[in-house]
Amino acid sequence: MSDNVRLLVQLQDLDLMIREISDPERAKELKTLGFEMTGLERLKTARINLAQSIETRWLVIYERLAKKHGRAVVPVEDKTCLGCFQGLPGSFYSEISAHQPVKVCENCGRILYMLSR
Amino acid sequence: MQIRLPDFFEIERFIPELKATNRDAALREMVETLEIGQQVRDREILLEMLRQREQLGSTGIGRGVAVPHGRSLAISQLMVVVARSTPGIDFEAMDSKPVHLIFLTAAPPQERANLYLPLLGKIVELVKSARVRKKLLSARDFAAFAAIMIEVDDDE
Repeated sequence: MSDNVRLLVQLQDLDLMIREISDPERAKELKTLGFEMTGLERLKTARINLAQSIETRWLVIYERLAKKHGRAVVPVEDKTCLGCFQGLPGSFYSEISAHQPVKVCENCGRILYMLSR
Repeated sequence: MQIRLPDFFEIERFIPELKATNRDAALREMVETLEIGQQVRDREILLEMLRQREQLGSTGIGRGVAVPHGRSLAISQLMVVVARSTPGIDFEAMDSKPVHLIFLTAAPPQERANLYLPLLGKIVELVKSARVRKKLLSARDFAAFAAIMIEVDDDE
């Protein structure tokens, strides 16, 4: 799997964490359970650093998709994009190459994340 | 939806005694119990998410217990890994005490049944009792460990 995809998945995980604790209701729930959450600024700094390590064109695509769909990167299961639940063409896997290491769903445009094997 | 704690524990994801002596190594050792396949897509990404979560604030909730947790696209199903450490691990817990019992809980970003938070709550509730903690720490094997959870579940 492309390094860019792995970094984008990490970025999305971070964004999700930041979003969750920025939601007052969710933060309250987690605090009630006894979890400390005082390092939001540290997370935001980690996000900036991580974003800097991602190829600009993919970062731009990620930010645009995240704004539009919430989740920019989605998994592929059973040859189906789990963002729009449309089947992927049969040629999909054979088209992955060093020249085109990041694939996007032809239907919804989301970045596709496949099982790393 | 009623959560049954024993449903989330598996012998393959039970480490009776951690080799790790620090937090990072403990998280790694626990994540390594997860088989790469349909349910876990990438262990390193999962580990990174858990490390970042610790940056946000320790998941050491005191009384010798830590519940590292988070959501990641690297996993497709809600999963728990449980581990014990007799000497204890510094998790920078809120009471500054070493952690002897760790419940790593990871979930995908979107999970239809929405069990992630209720499960965290159930784990936190489980370990509030000193009697239960003592029993979980002294359970001789996974079967004994699971039996304690069944017993607690049935008592509720």
